[in-house]
Amino acid sequence: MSAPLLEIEDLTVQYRTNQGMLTAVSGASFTIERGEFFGLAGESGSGKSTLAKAIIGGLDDNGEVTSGTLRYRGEEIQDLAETELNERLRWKEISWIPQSSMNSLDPLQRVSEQAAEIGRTHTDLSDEAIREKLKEMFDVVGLQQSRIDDYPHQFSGGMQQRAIIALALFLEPSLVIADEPTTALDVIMQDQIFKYLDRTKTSTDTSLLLITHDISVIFESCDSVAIMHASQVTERGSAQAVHDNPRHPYAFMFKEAFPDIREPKRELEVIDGYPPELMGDVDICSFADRCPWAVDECRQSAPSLDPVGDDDATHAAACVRADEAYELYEAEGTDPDGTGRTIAPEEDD
Amino acid sequence: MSSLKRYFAVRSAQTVVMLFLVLTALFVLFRSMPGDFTTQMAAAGANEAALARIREQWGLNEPLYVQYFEYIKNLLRGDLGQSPVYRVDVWEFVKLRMFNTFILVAPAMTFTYLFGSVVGTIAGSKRGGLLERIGIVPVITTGSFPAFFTSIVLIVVFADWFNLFPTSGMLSATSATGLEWWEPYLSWDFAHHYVLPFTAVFLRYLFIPSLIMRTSVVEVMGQDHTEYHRLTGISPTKRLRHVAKHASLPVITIYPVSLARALGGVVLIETVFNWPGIGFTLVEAVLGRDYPVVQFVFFIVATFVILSNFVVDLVYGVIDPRIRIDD
Amino acid sequence: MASADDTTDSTIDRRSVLRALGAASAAGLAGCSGSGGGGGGGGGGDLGERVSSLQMEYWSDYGGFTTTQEQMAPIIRQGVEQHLGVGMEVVPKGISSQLGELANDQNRANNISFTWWVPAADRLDPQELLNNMRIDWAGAGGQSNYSNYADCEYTQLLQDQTTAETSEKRTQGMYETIAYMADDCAIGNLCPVANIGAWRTDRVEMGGIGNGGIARSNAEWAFKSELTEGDEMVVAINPIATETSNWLTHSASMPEAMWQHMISSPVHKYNEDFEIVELLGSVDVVDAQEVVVELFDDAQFTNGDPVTGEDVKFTFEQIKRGGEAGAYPGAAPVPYDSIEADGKTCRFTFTEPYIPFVNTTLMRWGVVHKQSFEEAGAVQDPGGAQFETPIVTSGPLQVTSLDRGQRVVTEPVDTHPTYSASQPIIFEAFRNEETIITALEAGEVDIAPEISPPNAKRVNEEVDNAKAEFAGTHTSYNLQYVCHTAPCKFPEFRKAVAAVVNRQKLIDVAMNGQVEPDMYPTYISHNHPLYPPEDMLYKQADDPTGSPDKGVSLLEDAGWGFDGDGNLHYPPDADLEPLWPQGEAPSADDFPCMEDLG
Repeated sequence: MSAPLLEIEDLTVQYRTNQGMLTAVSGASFTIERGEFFGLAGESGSGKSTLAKAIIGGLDDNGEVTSGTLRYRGEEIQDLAETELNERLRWKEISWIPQSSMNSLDPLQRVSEQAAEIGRTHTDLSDEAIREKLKEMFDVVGLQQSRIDDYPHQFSGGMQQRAIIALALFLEPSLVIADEPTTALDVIMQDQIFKYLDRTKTSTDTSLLLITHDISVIFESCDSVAIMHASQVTERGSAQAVHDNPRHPYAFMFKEAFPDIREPKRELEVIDGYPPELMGDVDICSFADRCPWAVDECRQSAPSLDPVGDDDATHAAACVRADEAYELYEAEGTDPDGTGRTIAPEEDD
Repeated sequence: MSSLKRYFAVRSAQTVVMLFLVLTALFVLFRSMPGDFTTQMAAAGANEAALARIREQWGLNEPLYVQYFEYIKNLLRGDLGQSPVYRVDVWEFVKLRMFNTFILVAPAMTFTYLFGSVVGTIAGSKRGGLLERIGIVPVITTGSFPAFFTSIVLIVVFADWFNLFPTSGMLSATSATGLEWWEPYLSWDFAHHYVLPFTAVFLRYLFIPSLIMRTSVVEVMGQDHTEYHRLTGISPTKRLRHVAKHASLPVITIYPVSLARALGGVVLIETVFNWPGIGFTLVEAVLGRDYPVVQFVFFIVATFVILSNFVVDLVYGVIDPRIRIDD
Repeated sequence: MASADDTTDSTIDRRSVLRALGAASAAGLAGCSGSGGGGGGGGGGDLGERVSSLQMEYWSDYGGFTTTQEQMAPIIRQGVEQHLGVGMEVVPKGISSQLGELANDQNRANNISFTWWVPAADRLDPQELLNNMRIDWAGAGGQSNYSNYADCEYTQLLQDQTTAETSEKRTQGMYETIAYMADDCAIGNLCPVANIGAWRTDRVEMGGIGNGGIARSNAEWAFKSELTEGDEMVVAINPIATETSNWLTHSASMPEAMWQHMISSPVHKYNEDFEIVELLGSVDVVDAQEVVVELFDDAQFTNGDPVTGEDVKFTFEQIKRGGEAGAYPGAAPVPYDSIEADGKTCRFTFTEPYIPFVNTTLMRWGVVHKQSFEEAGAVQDPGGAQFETPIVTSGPLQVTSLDRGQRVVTEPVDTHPTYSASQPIIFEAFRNEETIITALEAGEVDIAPEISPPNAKRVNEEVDNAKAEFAGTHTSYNLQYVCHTAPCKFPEFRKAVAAVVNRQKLIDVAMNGQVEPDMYPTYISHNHPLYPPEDMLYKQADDPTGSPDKGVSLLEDAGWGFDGDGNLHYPPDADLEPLWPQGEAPSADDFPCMEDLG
């Protein structure tokens, strides 16, 4: 019980492109404890999906971890070979709920066949036991047990999503990475799924890394949160601390861009521009160009993620004006001219 | 399930109508060519008076529609007629030749498709790999040579220079006689003659499944379910098997058509290797206006294409649940 | 002769092949513009309509012969265009289409058929070929007067020689018939068809080539050649000969010759030097209506049964039956009165004089074994009978095995009174000449009959231990004029074309210079045993390289002329109408003899 489940330290991920190295994740650090629900938020192109994929070794062929470490239960995993990932990590320890669940199930396989294949690869369970586990899980995600032998095309989009969640959970992994898992689901079903995830949290030790653009979901269901902007973690900490006491301008503007059931009447925030594409090493605050409070210092080096506040030991923000930004915002607002852009709900990352 | 039955009923009826149309089209097509089978006989020295009797006997003087109904009537009775040129029952005449072509083409094409699928899968799955970039080149190169050229090269190199195989034929001139019809096909002599034409068919057609499979594999590799398979941690071999299964759909689609085309298309290979198949006979029969033979063989080929498309639909259903017909 | 010039015009202009696709319409258009130009051109008061471009069709689907024709055609075109001021389109056509259209008078775009005739053994009597020029076979009746040559006098001469009283008179009548046609230049001969065959010199001691050549129509080499190495002589043949054991149903005469003259024997026939040899017996022409065959005492079938008069009688009755049943395409009607058999004798009598019987029907058909035929049901169903191996036949070779489409295996027997084969002969079916040559090179084939000139060259120059030999045969490459439409309906035009062709160049380019040119328009070649004495014949050209002056003066003498651009024009008063409307036959009004011929 000594080491945390997953420690990410100063992680940089880059993609080789024709124009050079494109930095998708730059110097990201955070920790997920056993049983913790961790939310990773950010707009399209913030690097959150890349970071998640890096954990499970699922980067595209042209992507690589260029520096930093990923430690799973204290062991470095960023350099594991494909076969080791398969044998030791994938699904047995870390499972994955893909973003595009509609196309992720193999259309030529029954769900039970796909489960059996995964089960046989990672466990010694009999096919019958695997089926039982899958059935249980179908029950949990609100699918009829009898439908485990259906083909994906026989399910609706939402049902496919649930089936894929069932597949992610049925081998009881320690960490589930869920990349926009509830996009295809209606609100009631979202709720149900998170309730179940909560249940597993109490009964097992399963941790969840939830990736979403909808920070309100995170505040509702996660213990901790990290908010990314254009490859950098801007702020992290317990959900409570970040919600109540955001320090980074992006964090609070992003938070304010979503409705909050706790403040139903509030006007939604608008952030100008788009996250930049960053070539080579990132040595500025990537939010500087969009930040109303940016100063020269923001463009001289990448701000380090420093602890802020005294509400929570893990609460940290990467902003040179972390101490004053929120007060300025409270006082002046962001945009005297009113020509901003709302961050539209994402469709893709 | 009733819809499945209806589907079969409709498909069967369609097939029958289609075959009937093919039959009619072939009849009209070949009768509309100038000259008839007595023309070449006349040129070769047959007697004009005897030919007049032959024309009369074969009903060539009758109006076309009378000949047509006669033809259909006989077909329905299971009477394919006689070749007026060779004076042999059509079935008697074509059966061994069709078998000879089939025994060459079907195994060769099947092997070609299996092998080509493997080549295509390997080439497609290692993107940017050596095999993808240059491995496919020889396949395309040999495929782009005309069949007769490939055949001649094979003969010159392996029969002439190295003297490993006979230059032509299906059995040696001095092979044993008086056997059951199938016995020669099991002989070492046959196998010896089989290698080069088989190789020629293989080299000629390998590029088709290889290219289709490669393209298809590349496409499937980029699909979400392939990535999902990868992240679930199943072994690369299993993963590739899933990819191949998906990617094989277009190859399966093209296989029977390709096979049917090859049955007709190996005429050059048959000619160069002196393989006693149907291809050369068919060419001769068309030139000689041997209507019964020509119509029957083309009809068989058309039937083969139509039926094999039907079979492909069924196979598709087995592989791809999405197009299975349910209630 | 292999100058750069030769190579450029030794292949068919591909554009003309393309144009051939629309041959009929194109020729129609050419005709229109031609007549318009003639009317408006005004090249002189005494010029008629301009002669429009000619169309010459050749057979595009006949293997090596097509190659030969494609090498010859440009030379013919060159001669006509250069010397006669008329354009020429060379148009490839499938033989069945080409002949089918002409037999039914469906193709009036064509002016000259560039043809050649298979040197079949039974064409050693010209009767069948000359029949192709009968007036009653012209027109749209589907019969084989492909020239649409309509001449009552010719037809009368042809019929007279058929019914001549004695052999001498028949021969004389044949000469006169041919001479008449030569005078009219109905068919312009170019050079003999060559029978070219190759053999392995290290394995075979070849004999019996003569004028007949290594071809199936000349059976002699099968008996006069000897294997010096190995046990079986492998002879390459066209698969057609292996298709049926009921050989009388063969429609093509070359494959048939193998069965009729190697496996079976006729009573007598021509040998390789076109001399008559008696094979199974002697033939006595008692008079024009009676022929007696006296079989040799030792004449036997392959099973040891004696060949009797009864077998001969049965043979010719069977051929008549098969012909009438539409089963034997080669069966010519013979005016039999009776056929009587008595021991070793068979007596044929005819209702009218019929001398050609001796050198046509009697020579063509091998004597069959009556008992086998009866047992096979050939009497009731001549077309449907099949024979079990070993097949009982009258020749020196016995068929022991027949694999359809693959081979005919024969063993020598010693039952034949005149000939014997020295070794088993396997007739191996080949579909392609290149394959034959490769197999010859590899030693898988010993004798390759009937190959094309280019492959003969290849054998002689590139293949060790093999040799190819040419034999000029009894048939020819011909310019077969379409005689019922202008301009070829005018004899002077036909003669002019025949005069200007450079025959020597044709032979040098396409036949390796191996045959002699045909200088007289006789349909058959100068090697034919019934070739008339040359002093009876009209001579086409004075020189093998062509006589352009002769061609031009022939036309000018008949009132034709050339305009300022050298284009040929008809005489001003020429009647350019066809001799009969398309789709009809020569009418009795224009051709009185049609009344009798019906």
